[in-house]
Amino acid sequence: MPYVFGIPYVANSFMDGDDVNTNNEALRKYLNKDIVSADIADGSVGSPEIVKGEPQFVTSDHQFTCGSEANQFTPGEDIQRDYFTAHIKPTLALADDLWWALPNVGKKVHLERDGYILIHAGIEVISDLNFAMDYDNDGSVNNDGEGSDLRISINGDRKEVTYMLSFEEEAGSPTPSQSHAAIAKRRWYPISYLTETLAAGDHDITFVVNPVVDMGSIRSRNVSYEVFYI
Amino acid sequence: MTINSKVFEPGTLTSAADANQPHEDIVTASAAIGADATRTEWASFKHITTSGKDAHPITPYMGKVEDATHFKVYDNTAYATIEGGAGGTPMALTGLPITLTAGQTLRLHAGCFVTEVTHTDVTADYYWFRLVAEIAVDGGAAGTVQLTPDWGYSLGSTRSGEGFVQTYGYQRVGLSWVHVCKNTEEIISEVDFQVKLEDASNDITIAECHLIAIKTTA
Repeated sequence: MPYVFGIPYVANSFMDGDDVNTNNEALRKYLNKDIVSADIADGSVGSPEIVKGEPQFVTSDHQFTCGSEANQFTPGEDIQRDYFTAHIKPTLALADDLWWALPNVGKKVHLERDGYILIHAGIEVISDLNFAMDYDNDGSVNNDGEGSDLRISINGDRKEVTYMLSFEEEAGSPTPSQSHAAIAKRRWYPISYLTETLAAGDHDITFVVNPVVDMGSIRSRNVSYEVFYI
Repeated sequence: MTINSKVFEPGTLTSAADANQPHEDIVTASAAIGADATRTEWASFKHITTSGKDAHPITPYMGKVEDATHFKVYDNTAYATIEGGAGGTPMALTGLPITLTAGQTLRLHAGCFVTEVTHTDVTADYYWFRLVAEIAVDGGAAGTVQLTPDWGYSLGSTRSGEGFVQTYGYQRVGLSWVHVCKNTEEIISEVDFQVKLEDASNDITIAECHLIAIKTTA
């Protein structure tokens, strides 16, 4: 809305104090409150504005064309290999009390309102060259099913339902007898997970591993976080 | 346009023209304020309309999310809809029906957490997932349509039953599909995420599951 100059001053006339105050107040109010033409009303932006493509610049990583989406992509070059090891644990290298956040896959997602986040990820996981990522590091079969886990951590809560590992069990032809959990020593692990309702605000999402091998690594990874508001 | 302020020296008589100038400058400058917002971060989701012909091109329909404590064992050899826990109701999308017109797409994502498995018959240990929908085409009666292929998995590492056979459980399954409306109109009243096993002597346990359909109108 353009500014309207209320009481122009006239040459050869006394400047009235009330007129000055009125003009100043009108100017103050306009500058503080009444410049509204450039304000976008709630519920006013439709698909024509979105499809134009400018919303990519709204904030980094946002694309309204397919939900609010943030992506992480790292190609599979050797130089971008990121390692993890059980030696981060001061004692009990096979314990599951210390987790390693995988580099370059986490994201802080800001929700304007309560909503869901649909997480799609693919990560190439490499264990020690000759070992599956099982808990005793020799590829043998164990009974208690403990092993390296890859999970999604949301605000520090490592969701059990976001396991990315395979569970191997000796069928014993044909009756199952023994079992252990392991991530194969080299595999592209995909995952799809829809979060529970998350409150408006910031949410920290990371992929974490419980390393029980001397030297594991991840290479290429591709993660997308897609936000849907309630 | 920059609005300048005029600085008066003490003892100088001001004029009406001088006093008017800043106001007139603002009148001129403010007239150029358009409705186009060019600043970055000028819009949020609050600004996006959800109705009318220019509505937000994305409309999500959510299936419910269950946590790991809600699980159910499946040993059915005919397709059955995955339910939200033992004795629970079938996982259903919210906001149905979905109306699609020609050329519109429906992006579907389904996933679940397969936990414990029973691997008795290693020679018949396949299992499959699929998505089916109830669709009324061009005003007709609703019928069941399989949207996707049968997505196949196996419980074991070999199928011969000979020697050492490994069984795979405890991992997430993630499935995606895009449905394109090729008819004048399709009204989708139900979408189901289903599973079946090859042999009833085997079973799988499914915990958290989700289904989301995203309609793209643009």
